[in-house]
Amino acid sequence: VRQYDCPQCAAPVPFETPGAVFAVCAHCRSMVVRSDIGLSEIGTMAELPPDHTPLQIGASGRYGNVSFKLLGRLRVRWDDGAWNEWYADFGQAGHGWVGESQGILYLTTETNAPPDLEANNGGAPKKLLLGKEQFTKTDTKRVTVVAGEGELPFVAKPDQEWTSVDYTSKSRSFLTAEMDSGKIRFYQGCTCMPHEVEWSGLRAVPGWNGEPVPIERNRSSAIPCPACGGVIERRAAGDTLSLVCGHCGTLLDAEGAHATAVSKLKQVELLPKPALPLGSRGVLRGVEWMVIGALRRKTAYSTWEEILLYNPWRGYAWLTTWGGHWNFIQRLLETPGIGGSLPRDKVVFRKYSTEDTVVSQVAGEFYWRIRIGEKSRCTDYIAPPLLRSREEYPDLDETAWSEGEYIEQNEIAKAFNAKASASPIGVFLNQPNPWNAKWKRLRIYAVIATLLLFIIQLISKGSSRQPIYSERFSYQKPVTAEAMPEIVTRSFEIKQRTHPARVNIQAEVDNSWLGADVELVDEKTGKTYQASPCAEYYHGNDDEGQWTEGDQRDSADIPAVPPGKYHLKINPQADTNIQSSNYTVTLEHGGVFWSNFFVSLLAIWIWPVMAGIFSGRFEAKRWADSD
Amino acid sequence: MQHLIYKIFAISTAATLFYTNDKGWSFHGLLLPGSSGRSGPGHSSLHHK
Repeated sequence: VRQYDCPQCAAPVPFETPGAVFAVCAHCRSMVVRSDIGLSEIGTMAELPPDHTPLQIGASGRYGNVSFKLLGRLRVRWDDGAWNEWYADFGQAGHGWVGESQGILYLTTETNAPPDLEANNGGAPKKLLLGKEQFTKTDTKRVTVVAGEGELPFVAKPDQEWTSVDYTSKSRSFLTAEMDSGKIRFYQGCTCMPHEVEWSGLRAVPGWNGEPVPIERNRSSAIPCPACGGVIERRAAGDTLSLVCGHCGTLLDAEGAHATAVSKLKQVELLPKPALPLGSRGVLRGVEWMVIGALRRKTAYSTWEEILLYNPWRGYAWLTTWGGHWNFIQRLLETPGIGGSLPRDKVVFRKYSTEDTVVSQVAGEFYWRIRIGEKSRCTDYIAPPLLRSREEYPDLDETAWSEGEYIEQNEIAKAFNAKASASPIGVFLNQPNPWNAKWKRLRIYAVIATLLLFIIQLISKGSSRQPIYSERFSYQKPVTAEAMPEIVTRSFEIKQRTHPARVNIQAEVDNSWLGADVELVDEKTGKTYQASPCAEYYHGNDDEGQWTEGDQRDSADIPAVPPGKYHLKINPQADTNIQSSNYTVTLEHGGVFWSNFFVSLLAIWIWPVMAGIFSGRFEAKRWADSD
Repeated sequence: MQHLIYKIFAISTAATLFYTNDKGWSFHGLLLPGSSGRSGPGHSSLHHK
């Protein structure tokens, strides 16, 4: 660090970098230029307008493998806004800039301009190829110095101008070229969000984290409305560009310390009561956010509200709400490819719809210049609970991507101490499907349970069904019902342990039936088991041709027949047109009931299948309004 | 919680199947006591052909 005395007030003016030639005295705001013979004063730097940035000279940051220290600041503006350019020492990477605009940081260091840019006769080509990365020109603007502080690598007087051209790639890579009277300064780097940087030495922001708001004459964040005189508070001074007077509904340009009336809101109306009150604060997922703006956007079919949130260390975020559904949305620094996907994605995004939207109502303040009746084309891609949106502004030749996540309204109500409305209406496009996770998880359990049941069934089957008794009988039609003969068979033994028994009957029936009431009698205990097999076989011709029905065989099962000595009591019955017929009765023992297995299977699968059906119905409702 | 309940239910169902099979019972017979699993002669719809 080399220290000089200010030529104006003699206060120390430090120069930390050999490349810095210009500085602003922190004591008297004199602009000083360093040369071989010392410092010379060239005037007084304008006051920096109030802002809420937590960055300050001396603060250090680390993003990935890039470390830097802030040495000076330039406040610059263009037709549609203003931002901070922090001159920074990037260590071995040299010196560069940390651009701070609309809640996004641009970390760049100076490098040689590519030949394409040099050879373009002072103009900037639409595409630039640097290494293997393709860059697209996204912005060209005339930049004017507003004010500055600390040390800087060039003389930067207020109202000094140059042209700035920005290039972005599909990743976070970023290029900017500054062109001034044929000279090109070229910077290469990347974009990141403020919270992605590991900071040290940040300043306390008044009004945040319990910090008091100092009363500073002529530097208040509150400004009078030029139309009605009402006091309007600027909650994100520094970045706010458009402001709506809540008293008279005038749309204001709010750059710098003053506001200029643009127009009385006509085509857009004042949003009388935003879903969350302006100025209210809430801690959402560990971050304190302040509601600073709200707008209502509409399409041909629907309308929803978008609430702008601000946090000095996190930048901006949005809450969108419709019918009790909420989404927390942040800017996406990468540019997704076809289908809204990024290489880092672990989920698949699917296109939902494209709609033309227009802002219909506004309230509060915004970091861009609100244009009355501004239209955008919004394409949504979903991977519930995530939502990715591409917004195209045809009037501005600009495209912006954002990513959101569905949030339950109870979480919003709890965070902002607000009252949750009634149950959400219908199914929202990225609302998580509560049945989908159940269906996917339960069906895994159900498959495992099915295998278990199958194994149990095979183990339980033990020995296969074995023939125990078989005999052929002759049926003679009795003269009277009372004369029905009862047959008592010989004794036989069942040796296997307890299993089901099966009684079979086979009869040569033809367009008739023959059956039997069969009793299996345990000779030791006298316990009887009943079964009634009936062979019935019919056939014929009708309009549709030949038909047959039934079978000359039939069987009936008896559960839980233990080992022992048994005989059968058989009471045959037959169709009245049968005078006589032969039939065979057999008894088998063993095996298991497969009906048990299938009933168990039904019980196991009914819950997962119901979850699957509900999941399908939920998805059908979700996609009902898609393109 | 629901998954835990389902797991308990699935294990209970498997255990019931094992126990029922071991006893030689049928669910059908357990649910409809006295039934052997089919209707007797003279009750079949086929008889009305």
